[in-house]
Amino acid sequence: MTVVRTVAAAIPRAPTGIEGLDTLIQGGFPRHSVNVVAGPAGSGKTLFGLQFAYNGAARFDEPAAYLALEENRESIERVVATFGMDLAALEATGKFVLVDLGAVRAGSSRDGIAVGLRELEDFLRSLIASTHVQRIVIDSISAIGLRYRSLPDLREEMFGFTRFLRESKVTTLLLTESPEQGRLTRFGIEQFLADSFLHLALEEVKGDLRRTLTVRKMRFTRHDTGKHPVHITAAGLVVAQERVA
Amino acid sequence: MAPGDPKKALEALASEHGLPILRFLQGRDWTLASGVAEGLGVHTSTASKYLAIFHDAGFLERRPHPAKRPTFAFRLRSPLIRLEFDLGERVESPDAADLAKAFAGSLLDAAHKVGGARLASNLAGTLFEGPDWRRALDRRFRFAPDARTAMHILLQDARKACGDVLGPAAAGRLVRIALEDASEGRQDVVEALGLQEDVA
Repeated sequence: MTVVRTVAAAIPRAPTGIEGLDTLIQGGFPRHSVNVVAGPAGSGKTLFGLQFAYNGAARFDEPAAYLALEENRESIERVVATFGMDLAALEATGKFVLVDLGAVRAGSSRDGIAVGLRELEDFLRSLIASTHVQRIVIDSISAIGLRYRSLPDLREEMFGFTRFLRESKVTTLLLTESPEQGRLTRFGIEQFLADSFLHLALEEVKGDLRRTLTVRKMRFTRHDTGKHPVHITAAGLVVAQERVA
Repeated sequence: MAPGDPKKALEALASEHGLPILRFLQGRDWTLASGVAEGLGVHTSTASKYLAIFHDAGFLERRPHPAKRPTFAFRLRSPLIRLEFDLGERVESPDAADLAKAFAGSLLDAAHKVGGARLASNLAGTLFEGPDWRRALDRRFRFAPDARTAMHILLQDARKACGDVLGPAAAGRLVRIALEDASEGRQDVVEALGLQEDVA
């Protein structure tokens, strides 16, 4: 047990900076890993992704790119302003890159509505080379999966894409929606191809909605497996240390 | 072929079959595509394609074959090949420059939407050497050999500059979106500049 703990602790980490979370995952996501955060609408996925990217650039000297495929630039800027993140200053210095890929997607009449993973890989290769970002958030891969006709096709493409991300030496967060009932992720395969899988949930408790977070999987990490309440405060998400049933 | 649209003839001349086909016809009388194909060891459809292009370019005469209608027979008009460029035909430079300015404005707006002020500013710097892109565009059109060339080079440069940051596929989309926007109400200029495929 001691050996396992020593090895795990020695792995470089990319702290999320989200209050209460890093202590549950030995300090952060393993660097250069691919991580999936799933949750239903309103569970806090976008805010989670923005905090991971923003904190990387602002606090941990890890320039970050946030790729919005479903929400537009104005919407994202409103979110960050609400939680006191000074995006403009970071963008001006090149430490934070907000890319509204939906603007390209929506405007294209020839290639349909969805961006494919190979196109995204081609885009990221150029972006990483030109901006030297170390963190990437893709919001969301649900939009990308719609491009594929069958799950085996998507799985094969996803496998190649996640391998490309690891080889690119970036720490990646893939956001995906989870249906209200049934599967944990939109396509049911995202979590198997990633190094870690965090699930955000919205539960009704005595007439109120309660947000929770569970770290369901994280390679190279002795992580907490409990379900923790999540609160949205003026400073963003806060993960409570106590567990809920 | 219209005299101001020599691209097909140039491409045909530059290809491996172009000059051999013309040389084959030199000194021969009326020849069918099948005769060219047999003589040069190429497929008849290949020979037919090149003969049609060279006829359109004015290099060849043709007449229906009396026994094999609607097949045509071809012969050289002259052993001297001449390709003419009319740089002033069809599209006026001010119209093209107007389209180019609308395109550049849309492109920078689209770049701002996609990647914010930094991407738009970097793009303006790379493409136009700074924020005064209107003046830079005027210079491009003033010093280019013709409006068509200036516009095609602008699109090529835009794809390259966007592609360096966004990758070729997203860059291609961005350029097409900007050109679609700029083309509204300027279809005649788009057609005159041969940009239909870039917009479609």
